[in-house]
Amino acid sequence: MLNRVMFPIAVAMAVLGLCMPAAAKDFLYAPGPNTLSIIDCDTDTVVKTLPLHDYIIGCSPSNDGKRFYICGWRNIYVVDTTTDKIVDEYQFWSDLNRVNVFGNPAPSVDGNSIYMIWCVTKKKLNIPRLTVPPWQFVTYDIKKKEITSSFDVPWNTTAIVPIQNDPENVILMSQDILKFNVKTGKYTTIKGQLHPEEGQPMLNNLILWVNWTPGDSGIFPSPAYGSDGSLTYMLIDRKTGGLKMVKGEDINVYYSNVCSPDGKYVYGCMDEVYKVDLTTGKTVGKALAPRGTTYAAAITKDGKKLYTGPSGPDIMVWDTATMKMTGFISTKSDGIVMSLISK
Amino acid sequence: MKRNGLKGVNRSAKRLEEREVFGMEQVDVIWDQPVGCTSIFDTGWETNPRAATPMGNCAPSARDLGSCAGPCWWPAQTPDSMTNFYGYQNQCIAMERDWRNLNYAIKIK
Amino acid sequence: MRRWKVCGLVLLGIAAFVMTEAVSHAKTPFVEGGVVRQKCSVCHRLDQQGKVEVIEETRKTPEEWFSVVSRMRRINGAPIDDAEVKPVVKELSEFLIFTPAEMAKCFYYTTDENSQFRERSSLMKTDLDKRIFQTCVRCHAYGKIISHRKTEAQWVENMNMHLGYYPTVVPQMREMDWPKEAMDLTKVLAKEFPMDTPEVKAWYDSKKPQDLTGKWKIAGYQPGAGYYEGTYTFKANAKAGKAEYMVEREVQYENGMALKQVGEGTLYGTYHLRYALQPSPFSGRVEGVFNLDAAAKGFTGKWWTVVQDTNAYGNEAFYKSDAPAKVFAVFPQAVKSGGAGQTVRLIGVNLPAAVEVTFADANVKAKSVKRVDATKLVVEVTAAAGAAIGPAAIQVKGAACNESLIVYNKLDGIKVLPALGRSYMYGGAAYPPQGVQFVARGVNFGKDGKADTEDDLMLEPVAAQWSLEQDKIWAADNPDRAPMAAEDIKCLAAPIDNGLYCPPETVNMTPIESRVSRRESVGLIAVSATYKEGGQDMKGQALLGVSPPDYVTHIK
Repeated sequence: MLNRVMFPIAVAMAVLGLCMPAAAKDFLYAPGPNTLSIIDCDTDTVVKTLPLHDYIIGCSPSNDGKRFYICGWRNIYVVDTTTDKIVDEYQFWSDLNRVNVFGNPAPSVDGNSIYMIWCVTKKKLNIPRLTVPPWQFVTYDIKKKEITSSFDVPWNTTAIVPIQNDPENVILMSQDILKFNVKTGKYTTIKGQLHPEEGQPMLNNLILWVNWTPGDSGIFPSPAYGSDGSLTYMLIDRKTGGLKMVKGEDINVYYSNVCSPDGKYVYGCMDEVYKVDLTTGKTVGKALAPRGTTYAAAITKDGKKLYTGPSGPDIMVWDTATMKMTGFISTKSDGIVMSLISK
Repeated sequence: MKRNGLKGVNRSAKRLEEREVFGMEQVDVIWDQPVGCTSIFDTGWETNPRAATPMGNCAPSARDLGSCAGPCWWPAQTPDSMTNFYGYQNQCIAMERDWRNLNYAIKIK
Repeated sequence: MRRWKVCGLVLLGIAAFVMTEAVSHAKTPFVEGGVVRQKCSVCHRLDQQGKVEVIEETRKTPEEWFSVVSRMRRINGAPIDDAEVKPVVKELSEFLIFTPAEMAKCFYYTTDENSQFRERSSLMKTDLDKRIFQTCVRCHAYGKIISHRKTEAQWVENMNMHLGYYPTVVPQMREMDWPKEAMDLTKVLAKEFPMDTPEVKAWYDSKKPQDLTGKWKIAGYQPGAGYYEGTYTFKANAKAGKAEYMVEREVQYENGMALKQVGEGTLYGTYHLRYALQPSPFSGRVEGVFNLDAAAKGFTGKWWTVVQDTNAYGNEAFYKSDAPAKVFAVFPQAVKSGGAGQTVRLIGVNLPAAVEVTFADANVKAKSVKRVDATKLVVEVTAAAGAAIGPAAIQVKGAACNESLIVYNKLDGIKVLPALGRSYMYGGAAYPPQGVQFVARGVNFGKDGKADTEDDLMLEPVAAQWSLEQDKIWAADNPDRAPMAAEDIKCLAAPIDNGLYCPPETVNMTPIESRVSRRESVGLIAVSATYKEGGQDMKGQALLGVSPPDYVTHIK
């Protein structure tokens, strides 16, 4: 009797088990010169290496994590993260239209386009003059494989932060922090940096890394150093585009930052690795990076592990509770960017 | 750090005297300079007068060349991949292992 | 009516022909069959004024022309192969070189000298200097900027090129609006460093081709090796082209060492000589840069070893054997007052047979003068006990002389130079290590008797004992430094005989696991010299920095 009841239940559970998706796992995608290293964050080992043939300056996951965009100066390489294969390449450079794609390629909210900042130098065949337009905000339709618009932006626009709830606008980290309309090319200043508001200090903010991943805290943090000797964490809400500023109690020197999944802490790295409480601005954890200076940071979905790197071929692994390095991952090449993707 | 120099007192001494290098500038890392970057030229990238480490880069050089050279932060002193040495990384993808392969010397002939 | 129309058309045709011919034969000095027109006119055509566009809107030192031609090949695909580079630069230098007066200000930049020696930001006094420093001299040496003269349009193009080819300059200099400030600066640079001036025109009108063939008397000084004299012999190298020479160099050092070298040299723009000498048992390949004073028939400049494992160099002058009579060097350069006297050599050319040597200070006398030959006098000099401390001008009857002897009464101490030496580590086959030659010189504290003041007198080198020590000088100002300083001396230890430091190949870019942040073998250490004279112990100290290699030479 029991077997007649239990057996179908067991079969149904087995079938259900097969249909249910497995719990998502964290992976680090660390592109470097001529190599992409894919790291399993459970074992902190390199599980796959893909050859690239370029110097890598930026990267970004797609909104759903199924694609990973790797930015060389002249091209973007597209990785399918389900198969971990390079499936496409977008080429932008020619000898007479010399495009350098600067920093992180940012996916549009609907996922159909990539936004980029271009530094362009135009030449005419055998004419000894260069035409250098202002830096460009470029929208590239990835299905049609064509540029749909290109607008002038201020010099020194180095990072793009799409706004989830406002698909027509993005935040641009530039000479000042701007809100930029991707359809019209018009923009307004939301926070002056090189051109501060009356009575405000000038801010020195070098934004080359946008350490984000789908499903993260939704906050983009960056450090701004003031001419008054201050450090301010500029926290951009990626859903609304809102800006919150938290004064740092200590002047920590960072290349980049990432927020904990709950948004309570910010971690950052350069020669040292720091943990800062965002409610107080106080540094609550700090350690010298044993393998040396690092540039990018990534944090696991459970907030327990912090990765800093690469820079040189190593990525350091940190326990976020104790801020102690628990190990490091050796890759083949000197990268400067990486992204964590859960799949 | 500044030191007063001693100069030769006649023309031939001035012509034939030792080269004096007066020492490296102290710089305000937080504000005056871009974060992480050196302030001085010729020498430039390879010397960086910070308090604790007056020679060498902001990062140990083996970790610094790729990120400083590639994006052309120091085109006067390191190979840049944007314009002058596209593909420079082919000589050396991990600096701390491959530094012996580097060759970007541009000599006047 | 028809005839007039035909005539009109013919006349128009003739006028058009004449105008075209006038443009193509017009103002450019670069002849159609010459290398510049052959190699550059693919892109650089004749403009409306008949000049080669862009090229004739700028003048430079020959070294900067080498940089430009190198860039044309590297980025723009200019059809110039290795063997054609020098002929192109030579022809460019014939018509677009600096005047000697312009060259004098940036001459140091044409040599291998670390321009940091002269270009401290604290030495930037004028507003223009400060603006140039802030906008340009955080990537480039100031010497590079002042090695160019351009029209305003070309200064603007230059800024454009930076924004186009090196856009990272903008985030690099993000605490200023670099594009705006650089463009504003172009107007100022066009005024301060203009393409044409009356002085430039006057020099170009007066300059004449020079023939260096013959013998030239050399006098020079090499740190670590001492004073030397000798002879250059220049022979025209017609096979290699105009203004090309075979060079023979024979020198004898005061310490007895003799050197013979051969090589080739090129005279740019009638006065700027660059030569390269083949390796000898004592040195690797040597290069030299010298500028000619055509009226005096004399060159001054510097040579250095190119494969720099010792950083050997010498400052020297050389004069043609038939130059107007002149004494141009004296060694040694100091004489002690109240002493027995000193043997001093005066080096010159065409020195008269009957020679008389006196000094501006009557207390300094030439006890005897021996004329060895037309290029050398050996003089026994005495300075009376009461002779004034400081330079005493030398007067030579029948010959020009701008030299002085330093009179001093006692040795107060020693000073180690350079005060901060810079050594490059081993960077693989393409980047051999570069050492530093330190010298300890005697010092007299001058009239005020105080060390390190303006009136101090630098005297001759002394035979000191050398050692390396942990840096305490930099560490005194920077408390974080002490642990690093201890690491540095451990990593960089090497012999320093005779003040010559050369990093071994083990000092290289490999990370050292035990160092903070796994740094490579860079560091700052102290170099000490001790010397004993007259029962007095004297000590001098300098700093020595060892840095990563200089990877891209001659773009800075």
